[in-house]
Amino acid sequence: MPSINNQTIATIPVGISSGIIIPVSIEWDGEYCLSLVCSEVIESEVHATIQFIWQCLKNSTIPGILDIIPAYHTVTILIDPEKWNDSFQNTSLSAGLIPMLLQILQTTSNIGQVANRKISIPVCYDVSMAPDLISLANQVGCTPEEVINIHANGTYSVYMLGFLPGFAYMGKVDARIAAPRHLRPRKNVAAGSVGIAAQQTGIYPTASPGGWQLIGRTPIRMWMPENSNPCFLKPGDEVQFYPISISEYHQIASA
Amino acid sequence: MSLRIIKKGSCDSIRDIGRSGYQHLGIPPCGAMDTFSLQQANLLLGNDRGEACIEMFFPAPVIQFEADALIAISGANWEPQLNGLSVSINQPILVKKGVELRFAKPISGRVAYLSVQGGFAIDKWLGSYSTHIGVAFSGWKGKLLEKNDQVPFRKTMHNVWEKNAEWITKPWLAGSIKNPLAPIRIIAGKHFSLLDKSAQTQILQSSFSLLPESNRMGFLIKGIPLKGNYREMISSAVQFGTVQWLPDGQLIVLMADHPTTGGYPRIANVIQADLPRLAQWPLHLPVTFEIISREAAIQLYQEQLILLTQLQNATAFRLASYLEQR
Repeated sequence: MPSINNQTIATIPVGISSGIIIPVSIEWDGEYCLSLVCSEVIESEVHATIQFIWQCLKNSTIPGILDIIPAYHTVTILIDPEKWNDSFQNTSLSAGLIPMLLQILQTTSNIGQVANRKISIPVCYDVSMAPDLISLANQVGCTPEEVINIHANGTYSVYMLGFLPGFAYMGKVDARIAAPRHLRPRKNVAAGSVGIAAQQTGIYPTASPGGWQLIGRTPIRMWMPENSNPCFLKPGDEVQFYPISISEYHQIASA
Repeated sequence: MSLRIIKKGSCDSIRDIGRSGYQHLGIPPCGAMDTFSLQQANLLLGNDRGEACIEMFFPAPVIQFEADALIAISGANWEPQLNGLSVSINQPILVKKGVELRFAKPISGRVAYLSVQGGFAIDKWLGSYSTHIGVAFSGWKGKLLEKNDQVPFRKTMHNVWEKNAEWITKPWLAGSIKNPLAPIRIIAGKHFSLLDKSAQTQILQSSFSLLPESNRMGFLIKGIPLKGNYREMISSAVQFGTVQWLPDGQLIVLMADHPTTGGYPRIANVIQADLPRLAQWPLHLPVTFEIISREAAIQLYQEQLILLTQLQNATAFRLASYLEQR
């Protein structure tokens, strides 16, 4: 059997301000890509660690970085080999990058927690904009009003963006309303639709097919391709929802 | 100062080497499927490597040049013809206003690139010319090229005609990637060890077919279903070349339009140097895989970069001396 040579190369403890130390592994993922990996769970300490690492790396000046992509328990770094070579003709990526990453993480560790953006998003939970609200309520044994209250009273972290440009995976949704996604996705979900899939909630930035249970719609544009910051949300944001009426929805939408 | 689509092809779009820096927002690279050929097409003309080209699949478009242009075609060979006469790929060609380009028949490869000297006069979006079809943005109005679209050139060519000809090939040529049908080389990935030993052997010893529904997002690779300790993962970033193991035991190789994140086990990565060959792989021929080390893969990619640099230097010299003679 061939050797599998891209397993964990290093593991270092990363401390966040709460005093918790999380072990972070470094793994190659192909020639010019590596991931910093925490234990594979969706939970707040891991999320805080990932956010912390992401912020450190974003502010670093490692040459040749193409993308830094945080997700639930990973931060993935893509390198442009030519730019790397231009800066370090004599040091291979393997020999040069790992010590750099370790140094960044060690020197910035324990500095403190990242100050995440706090964002309030209006949602119209009217059944005309929430095709799954009543069936979801029946499914989980609540009234529609209870579903709305529970959803609007939560605070959600943006773990990552994916699936569609600007689609933010947020959690955790209260277990009482955590209904699974539809077995058969809808052919067309309206832009702005707010959905639930197990303990995640998300907003469809553009009209698309989709399987999440739709419980409302926001008039705020999540996807603004004409802007240099094309997405309303970014990883690490802390999001709260507040209910609005249909007339308020239209007011905001046409503003 | 443009070219016109006389007849649209099956999937003609504006591509460069792809968009980076926005994957954390869910915005994928969407660059060329075969970035080696795209860069070759540019370098033959003295363009920047990453200049925008027209990416084409077969059935290919019919194109008319509405101004004089220095062009090159790289990647697939579908017997390109200018006003009915065959020309070769990987060679700069000076074409006169009014000349029509069409492709006679597929000979080899699946994706071709058309470059013009100076590039196309279109705007970048988030740092790249590449079309994002999903959000209908960038490239040519966010869309595939259609009949009668006039794609403008950035540069005008003046008084370049030495004789009474409709087109003139320039005497320099780029090479092609060697052994296009050799096994596709992969690096074993994080979840390779979830496969049973027999499945691990199967990947290296059996052949797979490339399903026709494969597209710019991913290539579906079908064989005897791979068995093992299958489980889905918490989603994380994926990239061009990630080989995912699907719930039905089959494989998908993520290509240029891949989503930015995914939760299927990733058992391997197609090495960077072989992504162009995979992009050009004929649908009717079986695919085989070979595992190599990450270090060997880096070596192969560096060699490919050297080929491009050599082409760049050779062209700069030729182009300069050619222009001097004029």
